[in-house]
Amino acid sequence: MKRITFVIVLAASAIIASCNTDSTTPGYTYFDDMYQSPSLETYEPSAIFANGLSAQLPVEGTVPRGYHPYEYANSTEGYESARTGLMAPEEFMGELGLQEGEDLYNIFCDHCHGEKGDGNGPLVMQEKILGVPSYAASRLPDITPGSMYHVIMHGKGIMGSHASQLTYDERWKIIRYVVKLREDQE
Amino acid sequence: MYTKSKSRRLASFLLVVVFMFSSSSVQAFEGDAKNGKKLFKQNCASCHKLDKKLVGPALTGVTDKYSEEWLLQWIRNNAELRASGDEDAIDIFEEYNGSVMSSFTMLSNQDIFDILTYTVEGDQKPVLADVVGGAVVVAEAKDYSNQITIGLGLLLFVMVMLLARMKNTLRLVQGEETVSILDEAGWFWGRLIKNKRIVTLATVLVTIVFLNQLYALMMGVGQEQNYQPEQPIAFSHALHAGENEIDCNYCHSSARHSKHSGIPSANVCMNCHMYVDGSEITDDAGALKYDGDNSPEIAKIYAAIGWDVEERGYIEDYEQQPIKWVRIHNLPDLAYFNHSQHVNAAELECQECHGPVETMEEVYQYSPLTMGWCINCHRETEVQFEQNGYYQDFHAELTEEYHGEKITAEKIGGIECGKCHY
Repeated sequence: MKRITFVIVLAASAIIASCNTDSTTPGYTYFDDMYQSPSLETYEPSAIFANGLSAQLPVEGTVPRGYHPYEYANSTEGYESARTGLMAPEEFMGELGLQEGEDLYNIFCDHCHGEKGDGNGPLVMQEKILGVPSYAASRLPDITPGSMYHVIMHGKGIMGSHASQLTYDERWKIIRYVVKLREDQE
Repeated sequence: MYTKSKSRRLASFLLVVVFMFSSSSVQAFEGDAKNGKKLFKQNCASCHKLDKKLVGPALTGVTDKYSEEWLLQWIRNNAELRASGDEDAIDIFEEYNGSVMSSFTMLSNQDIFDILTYTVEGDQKPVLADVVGGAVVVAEAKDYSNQITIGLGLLLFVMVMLLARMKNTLRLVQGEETVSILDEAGWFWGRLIKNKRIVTLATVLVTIVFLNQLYALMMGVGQEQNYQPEQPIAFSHALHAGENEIDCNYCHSSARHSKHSGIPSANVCMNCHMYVDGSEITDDAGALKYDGDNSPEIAKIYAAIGWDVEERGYIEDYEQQPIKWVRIHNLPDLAYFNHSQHVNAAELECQECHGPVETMEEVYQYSPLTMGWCINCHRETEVQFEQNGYYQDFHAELTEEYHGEKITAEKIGGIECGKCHY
């Protein structure tokens, strides 16, 4: 009798120990009504909409609060008119947002443009992305805060548009910091 | 520099006119291809490749197409050349839809010759040694640990059998009855089971193991630590966040603004992958990994967003497909969690909850995401009052109340039920 108990206990613990070692499945839940409410999760597919996505685009022409429209076209002419015509709002060009500008620059720019703006970021040093210019006036004599804003919005050359990753304020804060880096390069 | 060797250059220029159609390796100018490569990478590579169209045309053979004099003028200040009414210059400008090439007035003539020499000589491909029938032989380190364990087990088994056999042989020699190995094992088992101390000890041990496992099983309900599903694209965080040092917030930019950290949409991938197509990745032996094609994983982004590799542009009216990433971190809906609050106000590093993602080839859930885990952190983590004007008065009040003790998230209500469950 003892022997049987012993064997059963041994087998049971072996079975339990072997539970859920497969890390490609999320495991088991029990009574999970409050874990998964009927509302849609972010990005969840949904049969309600024709394209099967729960994340729908806003209706065309919708303008969010605090939105700043950008009307310079993605073309050589657009670049030129932003360069000469688009002025940085004064509130961003002081010393105030400089620290935040630096933090943002180190998130969004430095892996290509380099910490000092010399065009020697880690991706350039590893030769994965090449030909990133230094911000120095000797290399890019003609750029202005307006042209920088245009490039963030539309990209230029092999740089893509960063409009979706940054807000209006953040773009100008970064530009303020780039202006400082440009001065430091001299 | 140019004037000094002008006559020599002129002579060699004439020479090249003679040889222009017989061989492309003869050139008018003399330059240092090594320096040229360096300059090319600094100044030209953002828009040109040698063998492929990028923003501008491929540069191999450019010295056959245009004269040296023309190239000097064009590279230094192409706007001036176009303004002078040069037909070639206007043609190429129009061919590339009027995108303007930067001017490079700071390059000396010798610099430009160096770059042009590089476009003629190209990259020196590494010479491969052991190439057999086109295949490169590379010794691979395999994992033999399973085979070793099985082999040792077999050896042990054979040794036990041999010993039993020897014992029986000795018994035969002494004129005794032989005993089968199974009976011997039974005898051992019988002794063991009759020994009360051993049985008690074993029962206690097994009970402890059993209860432990049962506890782990119950605690594991609805808990997904180490969950590592297979993703639709073999995206490596170790490469992007580790080796390339791209900040987490670059791709997951909504972590600073919203409840969710957000999965980057394909246009964010394209910020780099317009340029980085993986076609230049080499294997350990230095050969092209994909025979000059794009990496199949990067091609999945192109297929989803509709990027034309040849034309280098987005395909118009393309039916874009979502990339179906598998979500790893699933907090139960009964608990509220907000990324922006933890990233901005608490100034936590992503790694504190998500673990060393920058070393993970494939991401797995590092933290248990249980309530105990949340509360533990709220009890231990100090609130970031520094440089946070919003909290200034509140901080002064709390410092007085707690007599200078460290102020944790708990002390500002971080473990109140209603903060997360409502």
